Amino acid sequence: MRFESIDITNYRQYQSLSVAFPQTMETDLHVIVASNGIGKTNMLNAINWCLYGDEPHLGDKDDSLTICNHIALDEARKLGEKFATVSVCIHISAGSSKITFEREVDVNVSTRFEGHDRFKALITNEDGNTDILEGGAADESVNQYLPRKIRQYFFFDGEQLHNYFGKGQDSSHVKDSIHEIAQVSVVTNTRQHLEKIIEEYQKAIAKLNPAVDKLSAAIATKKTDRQKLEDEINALESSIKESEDVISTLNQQISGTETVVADNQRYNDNLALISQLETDEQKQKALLLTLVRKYYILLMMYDVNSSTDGYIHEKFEKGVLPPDINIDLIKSSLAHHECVICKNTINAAAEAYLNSLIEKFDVSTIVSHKLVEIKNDVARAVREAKNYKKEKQSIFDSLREISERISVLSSENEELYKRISACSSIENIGLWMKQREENRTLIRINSEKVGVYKTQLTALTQEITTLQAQLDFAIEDIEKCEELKYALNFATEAKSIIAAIENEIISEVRTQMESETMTLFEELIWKKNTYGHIELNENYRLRLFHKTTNESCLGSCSAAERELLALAFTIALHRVSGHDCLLFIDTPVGRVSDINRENFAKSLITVSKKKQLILAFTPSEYSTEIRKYFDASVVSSYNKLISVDEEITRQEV
Amino acid sequence: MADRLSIDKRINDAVVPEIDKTKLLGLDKSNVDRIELFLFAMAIGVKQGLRTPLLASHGFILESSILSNDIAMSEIYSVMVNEMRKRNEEEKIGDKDEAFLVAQEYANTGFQVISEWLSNLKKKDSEAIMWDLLEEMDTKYTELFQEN
Repeated sequence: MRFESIDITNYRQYQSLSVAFPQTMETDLHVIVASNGIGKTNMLNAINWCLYGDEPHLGDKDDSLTICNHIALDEARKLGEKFATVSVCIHISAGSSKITFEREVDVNVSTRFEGHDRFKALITNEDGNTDILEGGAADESVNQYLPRKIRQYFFFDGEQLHNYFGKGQDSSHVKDSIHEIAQVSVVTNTRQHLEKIIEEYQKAIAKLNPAVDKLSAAIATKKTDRQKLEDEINALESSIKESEDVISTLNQQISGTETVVADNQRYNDNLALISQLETDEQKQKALLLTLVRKYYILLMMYDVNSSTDGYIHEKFEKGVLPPDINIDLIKSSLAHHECVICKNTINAAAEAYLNSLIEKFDVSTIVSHKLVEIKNDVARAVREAKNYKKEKQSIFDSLREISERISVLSSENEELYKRISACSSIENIGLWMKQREENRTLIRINSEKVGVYKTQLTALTQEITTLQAQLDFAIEDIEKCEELKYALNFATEAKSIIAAIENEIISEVRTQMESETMTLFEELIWKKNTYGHIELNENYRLRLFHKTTNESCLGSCSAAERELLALAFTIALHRVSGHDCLLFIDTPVGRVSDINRENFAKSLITVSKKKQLILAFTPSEYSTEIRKYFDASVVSSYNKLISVDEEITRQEV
Repeated sequence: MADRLSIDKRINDAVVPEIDKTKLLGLDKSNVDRIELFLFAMAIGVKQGLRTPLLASHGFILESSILSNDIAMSEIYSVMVNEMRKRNEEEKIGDKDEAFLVAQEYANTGFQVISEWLSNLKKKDSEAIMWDLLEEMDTKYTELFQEN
């Protein structure tokens, strides 16, 4: 099935555009070139609007201009017409049939309100007879050739290709779409229908025996619980696989650079230590200054103090100095006849001695008193001067130790810096290691949960088996319901057969998808000895494995390789679904650069030998690398769209 | 009767503010009391063995501040004792005015030396002066305690 041409009238910036896609050679490759804003994406919208009645690439429809080209509206108003008609026609060939899908809508020139659109399909068979289908019949006809459910696999933009297998992308819609188009849904619906029939039979039997009702209800509850557990386990196992993929990708990114993060940490720790040591060094230098201020006085005054100390000592020895006593304390003790310090009673002898001291004190001179006053402090200054060497040595030892440590750390940091600066993305490595650790933790937590849930699942299954046996026994016990029992057994047997078929089809479709995708990818990819095989999990999340290491490596593929893989997956989907249709890709190499752009161009040519490819480029995207390969020998049609007065888009002649 | 220790007015106006500004040897006002600066200057003067009379006095530290500092009092009077003994005027040892005068003149010599350090700070910074003093102190220490 391929597009022959598209006619667009009064649709958005297209007042009148007709683009033909004739296949004139082995390749079926068609190029449309238009600058941003000229209408590449709106061509995609026009196709969707024609076939499905909506514009999925429009952004915010509520905030967009009316669907009708406004020059066409102005012209209609000038001609005195009430409406301007928008129409898009797509001419398709499928085998020997020619089909035209046409959608029209009238837009009020005054209010700009859109009326109800009209859709019809004109099918001309090989004999030249034409059937005209309208409304629902026309929609069914579209679904026969380009099923709405998988339209995103026929018409999409480059961004979609790029993000196809991105982390966080929900792949469940892929599974649903594939199941729908591979007819798995029909089988699934049949199984679900049989389950309802079984339930109804059981209810009917239950009316004859209340025990059956209770048991059926209990089994139903347990089955619901089991289903929840199974869903939970599937989700957890899927999450574990995703984490494993992420870890595998991160391992490749981190490989050989693990020590850099540790080096960086060590480097920063050392910097902090050096800073702390420099603070300590400043403190020690402050202590050294204090030492200088204190001991300069004590040492330079030492001779003077030593002489004074000797002089006072000599005077003291000669007894010419008053006693070194607190005269007020003695006088107070005598007044109370009791020592104010030890509280002993002062006897006559002690009293006489104290009185003699007072007498000596009173008769001494001011000079004597001054000498006694400074005696102890001068003696202490003399003694303390001797401590200089020891105190200085202690500070010097600390300073030396600090200096040595700073020197060692600085040398180590020089070495570390050499290693760190050789690595360009230290921040990323740190982030990647953190993400890897988070994913490892997630796997551990999820694995533990899976273990618990599986134990619960086994117990639940056992309970269901027991309950089922009791139910069977209870049903057996009812004599009147032979016919119902027969019907129930038949439905149960049928359900189990259908369920087996369902599983078989699902598995077969997935295997087919894996095999087709890999075959196509190998055919298209320029690296022929890198990738080994593909795996699709039950949710159709894709994993690509390295040929030699057998490690998951999707994360380390280039943007071009990922897009190519998405392309291979899409084409495989076409084949497996039996809808081997065209591909319309908007900005196909927007994310691809340099040599990969050339490789990608070659791969697209390969695809176009088996399938119609319509590619919409921006002028810059349609670069020399692309044009080198997309020459007249492979491109069947080339259309350049230009803007006229920023209002209308036309083909450049 | 002197009720305060004085320094030369030129020292007060030019040298002391510069000590505070340059934080020379941590002798600035924000780091130590003025009496410590005074004793340091006096120690330099004593080491030089030279008394320099003040040309114009300027009150620097109140007596009440000194009386509460036993070490300062003992150092000032220790110098006084030595001076009076040299002059055989031991009876004047208790004379506070005389004690302050002697201390001020030795300190004034010290401040002249400090003034020179300050004027040479561009050539030799505070830390270099500290290392010079340490060397001087080592020599003195050896002279005093390790000569034999």
